[in-house]
Amino acid sequence: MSLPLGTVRGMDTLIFGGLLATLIAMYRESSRTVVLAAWWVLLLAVVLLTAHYVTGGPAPTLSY
Amino acid sequence: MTATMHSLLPEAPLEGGLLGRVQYWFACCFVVGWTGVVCVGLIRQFWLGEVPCQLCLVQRMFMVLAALGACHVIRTALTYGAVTGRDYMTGWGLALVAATGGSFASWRQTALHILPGAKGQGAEVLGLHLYVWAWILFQLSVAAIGVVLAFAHATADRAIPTSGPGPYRAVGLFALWFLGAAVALSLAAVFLEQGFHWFLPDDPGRYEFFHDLGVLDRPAASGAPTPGPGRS
Repeated sequence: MSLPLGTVRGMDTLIFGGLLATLIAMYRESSRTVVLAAWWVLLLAVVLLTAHYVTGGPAPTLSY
Repeated sequence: MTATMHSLLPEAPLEGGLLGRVQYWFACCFVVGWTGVVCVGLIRQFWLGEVPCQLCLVQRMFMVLAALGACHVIRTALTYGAVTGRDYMTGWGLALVAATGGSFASWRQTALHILPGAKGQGAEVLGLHLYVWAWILFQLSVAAIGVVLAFAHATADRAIPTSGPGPYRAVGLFALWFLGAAVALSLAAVFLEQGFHWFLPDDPGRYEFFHDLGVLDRPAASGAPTPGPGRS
């Protein structure tokens, strides 16, 4: 094993975990504030992840 | 939340009718539809061995975020038997924001392969790649949400028969559980693909988890991902 389990990490994995947790919170009728806050935090995380993955600017080098 | 809902719902008995039910059914179709799209990606991933790329997974995240907006409408209807205009706007507003983000991500991936002769990422479905379909569906979702919001004043505060057993409650719960199962499966799949790394490589070609454990040690198709915060 090259990495111990204590170093588990992964942005994509964490975001999908957050999505599942948000859905569970919604299903269990958690407070509106908690659900909405979780949703917006996840949206911000996905936007930042997209910005990380999209290299070279938002538009590829094409003529528009 | 209960006190807030009771202050928003009118004290007089709610009017029934077709309009409120149509919006509820649309929310169910929205969740089931986007979950189905996510499932198509998962089926192709496991059936055809297509390892999803970075933008593919980002699009799936936006799909789930959009579906969660509609889930808010369903959950409210299941709990209170009605959906106020405020909850319609909240749920569909979330879905609209997510659909816009997903539309950008899918457009960006489409633009990468738009030149004549470009091979594209993955196989085609009905003549189009999955990310092109995602772009079309995100745009259709934006238009559909606009229509729903335009008529929300006529569909809000209507009684929806979700309190007892019946098709309304069964379909609503099915939509929530279907999305939950798809997200749980996606979580497992992306964990296996990403392994113990912060980010995915540019062109993932294997499941890093098994290589991190040393179970599989064949060389990566396009290089191993960069551990830590470095850009892949």
